[in-house]
Order: sequence, then C-alpha cells, then structure tokens
Amino acid sequence: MLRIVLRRLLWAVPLVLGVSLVVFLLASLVPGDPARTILGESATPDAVAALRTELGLDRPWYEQYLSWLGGLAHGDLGTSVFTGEPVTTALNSRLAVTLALVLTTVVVCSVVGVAVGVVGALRGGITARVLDVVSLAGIALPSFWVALVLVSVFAVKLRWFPATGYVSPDQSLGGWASSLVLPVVSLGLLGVAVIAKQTRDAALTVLESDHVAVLRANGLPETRLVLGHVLRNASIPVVSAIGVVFVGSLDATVFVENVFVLPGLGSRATQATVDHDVSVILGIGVYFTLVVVLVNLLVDVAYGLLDPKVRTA
Amino acid sequence: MSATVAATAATAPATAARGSLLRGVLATWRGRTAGAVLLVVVLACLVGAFVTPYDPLAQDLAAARQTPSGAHWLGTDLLGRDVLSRLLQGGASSLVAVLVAVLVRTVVALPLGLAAGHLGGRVDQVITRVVDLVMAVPTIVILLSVLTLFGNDLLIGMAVFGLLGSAGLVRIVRGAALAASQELHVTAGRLMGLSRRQVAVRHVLSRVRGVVIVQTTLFATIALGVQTGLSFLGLGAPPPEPTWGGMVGEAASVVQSYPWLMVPTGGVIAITVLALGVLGDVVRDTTADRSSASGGRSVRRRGRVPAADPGDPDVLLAVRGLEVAFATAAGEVTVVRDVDLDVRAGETVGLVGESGSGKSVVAKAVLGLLPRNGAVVAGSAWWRGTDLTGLRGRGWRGVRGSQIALVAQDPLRALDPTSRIGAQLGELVRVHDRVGRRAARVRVVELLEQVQVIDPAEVARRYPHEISGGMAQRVAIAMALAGRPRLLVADEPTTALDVTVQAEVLDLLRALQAETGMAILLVTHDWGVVADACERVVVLYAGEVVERADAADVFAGPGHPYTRALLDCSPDQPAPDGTLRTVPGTVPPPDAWPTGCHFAARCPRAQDDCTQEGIPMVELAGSRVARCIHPLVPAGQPVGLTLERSR
Amino acid sequence: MPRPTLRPSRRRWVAVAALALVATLTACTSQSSGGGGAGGDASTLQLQFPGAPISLNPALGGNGGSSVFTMLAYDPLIYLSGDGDLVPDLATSWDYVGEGNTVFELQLRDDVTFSDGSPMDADAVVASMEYFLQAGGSLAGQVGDVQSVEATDESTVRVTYGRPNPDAASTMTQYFGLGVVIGPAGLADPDSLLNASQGTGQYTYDAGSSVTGDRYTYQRNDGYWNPDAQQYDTVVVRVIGDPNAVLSAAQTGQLDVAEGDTSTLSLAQDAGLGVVTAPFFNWSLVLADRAGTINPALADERVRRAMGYALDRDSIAGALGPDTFAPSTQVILPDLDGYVDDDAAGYDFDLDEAKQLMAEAGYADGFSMTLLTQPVLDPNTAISQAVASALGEIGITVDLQVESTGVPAFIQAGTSDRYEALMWPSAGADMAQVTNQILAPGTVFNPFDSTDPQVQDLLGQAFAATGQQRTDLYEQANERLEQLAWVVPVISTQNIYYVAEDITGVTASVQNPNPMPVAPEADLAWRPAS
Repeated sequence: MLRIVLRRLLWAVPLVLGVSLVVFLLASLVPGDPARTILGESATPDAVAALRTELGLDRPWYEQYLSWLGGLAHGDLGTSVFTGEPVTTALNSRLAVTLALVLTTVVVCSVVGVAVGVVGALRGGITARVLDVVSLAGIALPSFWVALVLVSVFAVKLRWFPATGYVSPDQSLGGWASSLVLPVVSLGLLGVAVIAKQTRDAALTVLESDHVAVLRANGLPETRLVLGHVLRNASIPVVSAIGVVFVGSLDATVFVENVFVLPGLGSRATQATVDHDVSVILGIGVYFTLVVVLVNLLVDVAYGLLDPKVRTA
Repeated sequence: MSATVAATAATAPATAARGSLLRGVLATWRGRTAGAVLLVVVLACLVGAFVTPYDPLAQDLAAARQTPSGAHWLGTDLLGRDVLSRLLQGGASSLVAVLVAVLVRTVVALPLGLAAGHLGGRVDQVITRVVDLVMAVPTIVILLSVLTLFGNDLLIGMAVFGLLGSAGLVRIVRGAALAASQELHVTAGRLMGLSRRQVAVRHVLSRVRGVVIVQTTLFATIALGVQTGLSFLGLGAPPPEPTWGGMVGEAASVVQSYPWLMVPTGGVIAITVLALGVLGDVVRDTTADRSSASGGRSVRRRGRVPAADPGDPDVLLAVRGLEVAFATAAGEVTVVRDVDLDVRAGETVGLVGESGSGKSVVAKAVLGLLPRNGAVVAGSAWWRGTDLTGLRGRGWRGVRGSQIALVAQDPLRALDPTSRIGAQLGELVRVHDRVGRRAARVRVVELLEQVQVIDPAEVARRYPHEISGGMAQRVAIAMALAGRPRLLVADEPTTALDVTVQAEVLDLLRALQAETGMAILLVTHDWGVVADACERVVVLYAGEVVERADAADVFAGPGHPYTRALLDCSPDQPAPDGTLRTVPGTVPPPDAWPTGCHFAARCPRAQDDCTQEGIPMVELAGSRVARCIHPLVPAGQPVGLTLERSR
Repeated sequence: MPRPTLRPSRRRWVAVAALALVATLTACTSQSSGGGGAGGDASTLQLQFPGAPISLNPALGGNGGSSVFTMLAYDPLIYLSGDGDLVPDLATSWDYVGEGNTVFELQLRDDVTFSDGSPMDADAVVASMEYFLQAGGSLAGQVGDVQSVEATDESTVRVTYGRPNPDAASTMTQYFGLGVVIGPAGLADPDSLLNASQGTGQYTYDAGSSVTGDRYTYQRNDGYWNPDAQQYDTVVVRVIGDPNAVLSAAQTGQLDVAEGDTSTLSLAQDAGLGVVTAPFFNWSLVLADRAGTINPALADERVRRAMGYALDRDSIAGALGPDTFAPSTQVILPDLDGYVDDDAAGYDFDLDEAKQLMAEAGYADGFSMTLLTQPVLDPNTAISQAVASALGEIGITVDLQVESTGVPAFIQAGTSDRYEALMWPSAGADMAQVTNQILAPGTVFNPFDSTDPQVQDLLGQAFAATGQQRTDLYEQANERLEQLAWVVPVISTQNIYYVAEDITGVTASVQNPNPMPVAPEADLAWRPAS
C-alpha cells in the first residue's frame, strides 16, 4: 500500500515536467507578445523590445524554461507579467476556491449519484428509463448553459442565491454555502449522471456475478446481499468514476467559474490564456497536474481499502 | 457456475453473424429512433452544406432577432441571418470536428489497447505507464494553449482533445482484451474447428467492439460539449462561418434579451447528444453479456398453468416441460425446452451436455437464478408440492440454502472477493441457524472441518484470493452446506480445477452425501465425473433432453447417437491413434434450431424423417429414454408424458 | 451587442488600446465652488469593472474606466467630472504660460498630505511626474512631448513641452498617470504600490480584503483633505466580464454601479436599474494600404470614398441595437471640437454615388479585399460582418480575416503590412486625440506610415492655437481626412452604466464617457440618493 502511494507521488515529477514542457512550448509558440500587450498599441518598437529584455522574453525558449524549472525546484513559479504578483501568491487563494467548488461538487455528485444508481439497478424498468433520460440530459446540456438558466431563475427571479461571487467560509459559513449552491449544481449535473450510470452498471454487474448468485442461492436475504456485498463490490468501479468526475469537474471550472465570477483557477486560466501570461498558465498547469495526481492517489488508496487484492498485493 | 452459458445463449444471435450488431440495434425502437435522428441530422448537414434555404452568411439587418416564421423556420440571428441555414451549414463543420476527435482517439487507442491487453508483458507495461501519464494531464490547460497557438482552429483543438482522450479508451480496450484473452484460456480447449489464434483475434475484436462503440458515442457527446464550451469562452471557430458551438455561444451572450436563440442552437446539440447517447446505450445492451443494462427487456411466462406435479413422494425435484427463453435485442429466444427430469432423495443425477446445450440454464432455472432477461416461459419445477418457477422474492426463504443449495463452477468467482471467508460463511450461518456472531464462528469452523479444510480458523481469516482453487471449492461447498440442504445443485464443480484436485472434490461430495443423505444434481460435461459420481444421467443437446437413463445403462450402450458421440470424445475414450475425438460440426445456436431432431445435421444415422417433425421421447431397452426415432438400442413405447407437448 | 468573448480582456484593452479617451474641450481654468456634500454614512459602494487592473501602480496602470483602481486611492492634479468639466483637485488653478501652448503651470493646494503623513508639495509632484515619465507605462506616450518638469516654488509646478500641446490640462486628469500623484514612499519602492497605495486619495487600497483579478477593496482614508466629499466607508470594485453576469449581479443588488452592455440594456431598464450612457468608440474601416502595395484598388481615393458612401449606417446601427449604436459619418463624434456641424460634411449612405465612384476608378465590376478584424472588441465580429456585407453591394468581395487569439495578435497582424484593411475603433474627446491615434505611423490605423502634408500643416497650426481659431483648423483637418478616406467611420458605440436606485450623481458625457465614483467635491461624487 505504502509502495503504491510512494510510486504515485513519484509520478508527479515526470508529469509536472511533461505538462510544463508542453505548455511552455505551446505558449512560447503562440503569436502575440506580452510586452506588446502590456504596453499597448501605441508603444514604440523600442519600448516593446526594452520590456521584452526586461522580462527575459528575448532569451531562447529553453533558457526561459530551464530558469523556470530552477525556480520550480524552490517552489517559485515566477511572477505574472501582468499583475507583477508572484504566481504562487496569485494562485493559492484561487486554489482554495476551486477546490471548495470541485470538492463540494464531487461529494454531492457521489452521494446523489450512488443513491440514484443503486435505486436504478434494483428497480429496473421505468425507473431505469427515467434515470437514463436524466443522465443523458446531464450530459447533453452544457454546464454554462445550465449555469445561465440557474442564475436567471434562482438568483435573479427568486433571489434565493447570489448571482455571482464567492464568499470565503471564514467570512460567513452560510454565505459560503449559499454562494456555492448554483455553481455546484451546474457543475455537478454531469457528474451525477456519470456516477449514477456507473453505479447502476457496476451494481448490475455485481448482482449478476457468480458470488452474488451463490450467496443468493444459498439463502442470503436480498437486503443483506445488497448492503453487504453488492454495494461494496460495486464501489470499486464507482470510486474510479468519482475520480474521473473530479478531474472532469476541475476542467469544467474553466466554464462555470466564468459564469459565476468565482475567483478560482479556472477563470484565471482563461484570462491568462488570452493575456499569454505564460508563467500563470504554467502555474495553473502545475496546480492542476498536482491536484490530478493527488486525486489519483486517493483513488488508489480507496481501491486498497475496498479491494483486499490491491491492499495485499 | 459461469455466466457463459446464459451469455452465449443470450448473445449468440447477436454475435452469430457479421453486421448483426446493426440488426440488433435496429431491432429496438430506441435504436431505430436514435439512428433515424442521427441519420437525419447528418444527412441534413451534409446536404445542407450545399443546399440551404438562405445563404448562411447573408445578412438582413432589417430582419434581425426574429422568432420563427414562414420565411425563417427557426428565426434569425443577431445580424438577421437565417438560423436554420446556419445550423445546417454549421452542423457539417461541427460534426467533422467531432469526427476528427473521435477518429484520432479510436485510431490511437484501439491498436494500443489491443496490444497491451493481448500481448501483455513489456508492451503492456510501457503502454500502461504512458496512459497513466496522459490521464493526469490537465486537458483543459493544454487545450486552451493549443487553441491560442493555432488561432482557435477547432479541428486541431479537437484532434488534440481526441489524442488526450485516447488514454481512457486504451485502458478500457486493454481491460476488455485482457478479460477476453483470459477467458480464452478456459474455453479455447472446448471450442472446435478454429485455430486458437483465429479464435483469439475474432473473440477479442467482437468483445471489444461493443465497448468501443459505447465509449465512442459518449466521447462524441463530450467532444461536442467541449466544443460548445470553448466557443462560449470565445475560443471557438472564428465567425462568420457558422458552427454549432459558436452559435450557442452567440445565443448565450444574448440569453436574457433574445432567449429564443438558445432554443434552436442548444436544441440541435441536445438532440444530437441524446441520439448519440441512446444509441450508445442500445449498442451496449445489444453487446453486453447481460440484458439488464438499460434495455430492461424481459420475457413473460406463457399462461399461468403449471405442469402437473407427478406427486411421487420419493422425488424431491420434479422438472416437467421446462422451457426457458431469453429476451435479446433480436427478440425472444428459447434456449431450453421440454425438459423433464427427476431427482430423488439421496441420489446423484448427472446433467450432461456440451457448452451451449442449456444444462446450466436448467440448473439456474431451478434455483430462480436466471438473469433478468431470462425467464421460465412454460413448465414447472416441483419441490415437494411447491412450484419453484412461481416463487418470487421472499417466497424463496426456506427453500434456498436450506432445501436446495448451489455449488458453482469457478470457486474463485463464487466467493465475494472483498470479504473474508469466515465472514461470508458466518453470514449464511447466522441466517440459517438464527444465531449470534460467536455461535456462528463455531459453526463456521465446523463447516470448514466438514469439508476437510486443514486449518479452519486460519482459512476463515483469509480473503478468497489468498487461497487455492481447490480450497476455494471446499469453502464454496461449505457455504452450500450451511443451510443443511436436501439437494445440492453442483454446476460443473470440478471443471475449473486441477485434475488431482478434481478427484478430491468429487470424493468430498460423495463423502458428504453419505454423511448427510442429500441429493446432488451434478451439471457436467465430463463423463469421468459422471462415471465416478452419478446414479442416473440426463443428456442435453441444443436445449432439449436427448436421453435419460441409469448411468450404468449409458456406459453399457446409450440409446441416442449424440450420447454415443459425446461418450466417444471423452478423454477416457481416446481414438485408436491416441488423439481426442471430436463430434464433427457445431451445436446449432438457439435461434437456428432445425425442425425435427436438433442433432440430425451431425448425426451419422440421420435419415429424412429425422427432420420432418418434432421427435418424441422414446422408451428403449433398460432404463433408457431417448429423443430418437433411429436409436442405437431397440425402441420401446413412446413416452406419453412429453409426447403431446412436442412441437 | 452580443459578446461571448473574454470580456475582462476586452475592456482592459479598451483601456490600453484606445489612446486618448478623455479630454476637455479647452484648457479652461474654471474654478468651481466647493460644495458641502451630504457626508458619507457607514456603508459600502459596490462597483464593477470588466477586467483586472493592468497595475495598481498609477504610473503603470491603464486609462479610461480602468483608472478607477487608482483613482480611489490617488488624487489627480485636475479632476475631470462626468460632465466633462475640469475641476480643481490637487491643483487649484492652471494655465499656459505665454503663447504657443508649450509651457504649462499649476498652483498646488497646500493642505494635503499623503496617506503616510508626508506633505504633498511641488517637489513631491515633480518627483511623481518624473517617475511616471520614465516608469515605462503605456500612458507615458500620450501626455505630449514633455521636455521638463520643475518646481518653481513650493506650490507651483511648471511643465515644458517640446511641441505645442493643446491639451495639457486634460493630461493632468485622473485618466493619465502624469497628473496622478504618488507619494515619496511609493516612489522609493514602486513594487510596494501593488500591495499598498501611497496617495492622497479618499480611500486606501486594502490588499488583505482583495483578491487579485476578482475584487479590489478600498477603505476610507481618514486623513483625506476634504472629508465632506467622502461618501462611503468602503468601496469594492469587482471584476466581472460577462454582461449577463453583470446584469444578474446588478439586478440582485450585488452591484451599485456597473458597466452595462447593449445585450442586456432593455432588461436592465425593465428591472428598474438607472441607465447612464455616453458615446465612446468610433468604429472605423481602416483602409490601410493607401499606396496600393497589396491591393492596388485601394490606392485610388475614389475607391476609398466609394466605400464610405456604400455603408448603410442607419441599418447597421438599427440591427445592432439602436439604443447603443449610432451612425458615425466623421472621424470625430458629434459635440466634440472639430466635428463639422454641416450637412455637406460626413459620409451619407449613397449607393449610386458609391457605384459611380467605383466605375470612375475603373472598378465597376468590383474587386476583392481582405479585411482583418477581431472578436474581442467587436463581439461576434458583428460590426465587421455588417461592413463586409454592405461592401458586397458595390461589388467588393470582402474576405474577412478574424484574428481571434486576442488583441495583441490582432495588433501584431495589423501592423505587419500584410493586410490592406482593418476594422478598429478610435476614441477621443477632441481632434488632437483622434488624429494622434489615426495618423500615428506604425499603428493599426496607419501601418504603412502614410502622411499627408496638408493634414499635418492644419493640425500643426491648430495645436498652437486657441479658441475659435483652433476649432476652425480642426474642422478643416476633419474635412481633409474625409476626402482622403484613409479611415472610414462606420458607427459609434455607447458606454453604458447601470446604476442602482439608491445611488445618485452618476453622469457621463461624450467628453468623459468613463466617469469616476469619487470627486473632490461632494456634489460631483457618486453618493447615496437619500
């Protein structure tokens, strides 16, 4: 078990290197020049060139990349050329927002998705059909579309929740929860659909597996069978689905944070992309990668807890 | 017990011929609807790229922001352009972009996944590593960078999206290929007529096909969604060229002042996504090893009339006129019919047949364990006055485990891998004996001792994967014994075991039978096992009982040519040159049963009258009863009981 | 106006790209009386801006509306009110010294201290101005040719220009870093300005309650020199780009004053929000290749003029939104100095005239032309598409090239000499500012560095002149520009503001389309309505 954890953590190193190299290459190939962006349309070419030198943008890309890596080794992700802020400072507060959003989404999705999936597996028939339609709706409707509709109904018309913005939990716990409701719903629709579907499929597979048949044939009552054996076995694929939903939600924050004006990593990512703010894009790439590594690690640990084969291997 | 029989039976029609997947999908109304919708969308967009009601780029500023009218069926956009025309033309480019993502993903993932799963070893290791790596890449960050780099060229963006998405598919294909390959090790020996390599490739491909299609439809919907989202962020294809994503993005920007625009633009995407999703579901249902999924097809019993209870007090289990059918995408398929068999107290009856004969289906039907898409459609299984085929839910209490119990074929799959042996066994004990944990623990040790486990306390602490196959089968038998049953249904209890262990398990079963006086219904394809353990034999071929007789009579000389052929290919009866004989030809699948004798096509004694009409069971010399009009031993009187039900 | 694009950047670009947004008509030294304001109660003013500030250092910041981020904490020497009046702030009076508009003097207030307690005097102002000129900010090129800045006594600052600068007072307002005074502590360590303000303004920046790129919080400065003008305890500026999100937030009371958008205007009105508008952008078809290097047809003045007449501006404005789009026929907007109030001037829609000009030039059958545009300032490129469509009427086949990766890429492409025509807006409050933009060589308005001696001569005279004489010269320059048809005006767009019911004092004008919440006098400031 410990070996798995360590191996997963070691994975982070080549991952961060690979991701940052790709992002760096892409970003340095992008037309458009941060110096020009900062100085504006009217700036003279000399002024632009001077700023490029000052920002180190005139050096070859590999030199820039190596010096970035050097900083990374010390936990320094550089500074945003636009705000002048250290990238880590700029992203840390945003990481908290994104994590709050994504974690809440994943928890809600897991609880609702598993419940819905189990009911679907046991009921079949009409219930299953209804679930299918709801699942498909969750997949079919783009998250930002849902978000726009939710805002106009629940924020503007009914005034139940704030339309935009994020309230830090140490400011007001109620305000925090309330500011997350709509984003979580629009982000989570897809997740619920995915987890419910996975739960139902997994539960059905387990229900038709030999060991369930044997326990059933040898007299174990249905409720015990479901609670004690089906759920536990089904939870293994469901855990990996939850991992996938986590990563998917992380990606989707890019869309949802923009609609709800949440100061998270997703909205920063789009801004940085438009600005060609390479150090911020790289920083977000690193943060996203580390979060994904951590999620995969948790999924592996959960596997270990749920599946004795993994634990003892 | 394995799912293979039911699965083979259920999916045989679907996989029997090339192109039948399409037929299977189109056989359902959901598949037809989804397919039709997709076809209409695709055709409309293909044709629409050339023939649109209006020029998709032509502006009519005076007619901007119009709701639907005779002139503009779907209204006009912000610059007065015809929405329908734009949707049609935009569809082509949007669908092409999705196609690019899907193609890149499939082309990359399919060979890698197949190679990893089938070849294993180093190849598998390297591919799995790379996949792990790619799976952790923050897709959206890369995508944003790529789009910026290539001037929001969605085709390139979608190609990259497909590339990143291929990692997930590689995993899935690898898993399926791996499972298929492993399955082959078990079944290859039994398959006839094809080389192993051919079997492997065909088997893996057909098995993976369904998963790939399901995953691809899902991925296509996601690709469409991502395309839309990126356009919403202004990172999509540049105007004025219409794209679906761009149009939704445009509609989203005026959602409050001109909400109508959200309807056609979002609608066409939602419809396409729904059609893809439904299609994926149908494909999965059609190819899956079970029907359960979302299709939820089921079979109903024909009429409520049970077959008459013979009422013989010596007979524990009396199966009469049993007919089982499975619902498949292609319709209802009968897999077993007109089965009669008796099990008397304390005796061992062998249920013998090749795979696909329906012997496991019969065993499952008796215990009410048919998969969801299967059901007893006619006949009965009488257990001391109760028709088991009529039992539902709680009705099984007091029957399963305590009257009839089950030992399955693959002991390792028959135990819950996530819970300790002592816990599984103890749970059953507590149910049957209504005792507490402590008492249950004592009984668990007793049971394990009863099945001759050396160190019961230690074994009880282990997980199923920590014990050997032989030990696992002993544990499985102990589980069956927990309720002190009067009949043990043993479905190929030795097939998955080593030869030496097989004998031990058979000895154990015999010893337990002597000790407890229970009856055993032994499902097997192995004459050696029959010879060792059974008093009476029932032979099944292609869903029908072809012969019933005392074991001694069968070995002395069977009445049915099929029984003869089957005996001849037993490893105990090698051909003079030492090779294993086989029955030429293959068992006809349930949807291709011939009229008359099912074995006629392979039968050396077949004559014209064999294929004219249904063949009755005929009483022959000794204890033999066979479904043959040209039997190997002299014929006696037809058996009235089953005659009138023959079709 | 639909805009699905990344709004923050858009408005940031509005700030950066549009050169001289705000100015006064003339350098008048009107001395307004200080009004006794209602006095602020304990409350918070919630504002919105579509993009993050470029910098919280006033010398490096943007102009236009983005000035709000620095204006709250820093006073300008001269305040430009929402109505476009120049109002004394840190300077009590100002004027040119002598003829020719090259020497400019300001008298400073003597009772003002920076938030760290140090005094605001002529030396401090000179130091701040000198820092601004060399700090490398984008605004340094827009304040005229400053030769020297000196303190002639403790409260007098003299600015000397190398060339006549008719708009010296305008460049000392809150929209240009030159007149925004940074305290000595800030100048000593400019990086510290990103986390703490060093000004004399009504508020101080509260980094602890701010989140970069999301919300910027300012707390009341108790040492401010005119407490009567301070209306609130706290001011929060939230960064919200999407117009739908802005509307939702304004409708639900999350914002007191917010930038509106055509796409949400009618809904805002329905929701009972106050609406304040002022003309801002003058969208132009830039016919850049005046020598015909890439597209020979453009070398012919008649062809360029034909395009001017081919555009049905009324229809375009009507379709895009008559409330916020208006036809624009001259390079400068109505009511500004230099606008020719005459039916004979400006491009009116005249298809026959256009076709005849095309025929005269030998292009009766038309030609094709590549038009470069971007969707950031022109959402969905609706304006560009409308123009392209209209040019089709006189046989010009327009190949629209959309540079969708953003404004920097657009500028890079537009100035690369690869495109003969572009769509881009100008924004200026008088002819000096407008011509500064559209004639400057090497920019998207003039990538091929075209020059016209006649225009140069007229403008040179105008910059050194005053009053009616200058106005006449500006108008002549305007007419000459129309004849050249280098830059064909299309439509103007409005800046829109949504104002909550309980806020008063928000005004905007063509002279100042980006009004600021704080003012040195209470009755010019945004304040509670009660």
